[in-house]
Amino acid sequence: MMIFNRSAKSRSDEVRGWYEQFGPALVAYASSVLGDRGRAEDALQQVFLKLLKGNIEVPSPAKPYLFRAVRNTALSMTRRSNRDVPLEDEGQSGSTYQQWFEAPAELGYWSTKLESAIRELPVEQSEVLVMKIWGEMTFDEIATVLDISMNTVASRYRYALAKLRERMQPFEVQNEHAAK
Amino acid sequence: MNMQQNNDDQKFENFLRQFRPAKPQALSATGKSVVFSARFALRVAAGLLLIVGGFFGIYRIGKVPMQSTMDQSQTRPAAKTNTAQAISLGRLTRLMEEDPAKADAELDKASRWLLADVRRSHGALGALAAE
Repeated sequence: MMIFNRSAKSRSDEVRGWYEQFGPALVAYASSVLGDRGRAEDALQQVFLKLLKGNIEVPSPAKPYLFRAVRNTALSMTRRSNRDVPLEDEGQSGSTYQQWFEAPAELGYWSTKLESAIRELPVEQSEVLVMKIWGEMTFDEIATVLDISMNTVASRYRYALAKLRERMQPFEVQNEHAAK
Repeated sequence: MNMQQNNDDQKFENFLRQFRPAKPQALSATGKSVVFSARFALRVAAGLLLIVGGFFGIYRIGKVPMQSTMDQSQTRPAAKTNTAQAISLGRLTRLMEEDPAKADAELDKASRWLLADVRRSHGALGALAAE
């Protein structure tokens, strides 16, 4: 365990460094749990502001810890919103819509398609997929974050990949033709 | 068969990695979350309400001796209840954190004693309402 006992400045730099490095994958992960980009950004801000303000022990490596913290925050937001009366439709809480993925202009349509394909997956599959592909985590690390066995992680991942492949097939074919 | 599937999976994974997750907004420099700000605003509003209500209550108590005997018999018990039922800012803040619904109910209850009653016949608001 690595305990924060350095100066406030270096701690702040380290937290901001994690935000730069893991922020995109973490916000994609929170989006997959919450199904909404705006709320995912809120969850991320909450986690990092706590890290900036509080004397929280962060194990090394930090990545699995950060994913777990974002997951817990996102789940507690979900529980809260289930209790509250919804004021807006799910997925439209932000004033401006922001895509989950950035892609070159020619792939723009497909990045929207990818986003909706991920949304259609069960959360337990989409979260594994996002952690593996965009979080670049091992099955072992994902199992630690979710507190489940590695076999369960691997099986959820395979299901997710198969379903996503089915939905993204036209693009895959097109992509292969373009590569030839 | 299995190797072919693994190969296909790997190709598909590489294809998916072409899409990069969009960057989140910059980390707030102030260190204050939206939730914190909303709670803070709620506490300030509750505090202001109590202060204004308290002043009004004191004003009403001060006015009682100048009113008619009949009025005194009607208003004095209310003024006494006022003091007895007033809730402290500290208690309200604690309630806001622990049980917002109960805090709302307390505020609602307190407002009955602290805020002006338009139905009272001799009050300024009553006179205005009659016009």
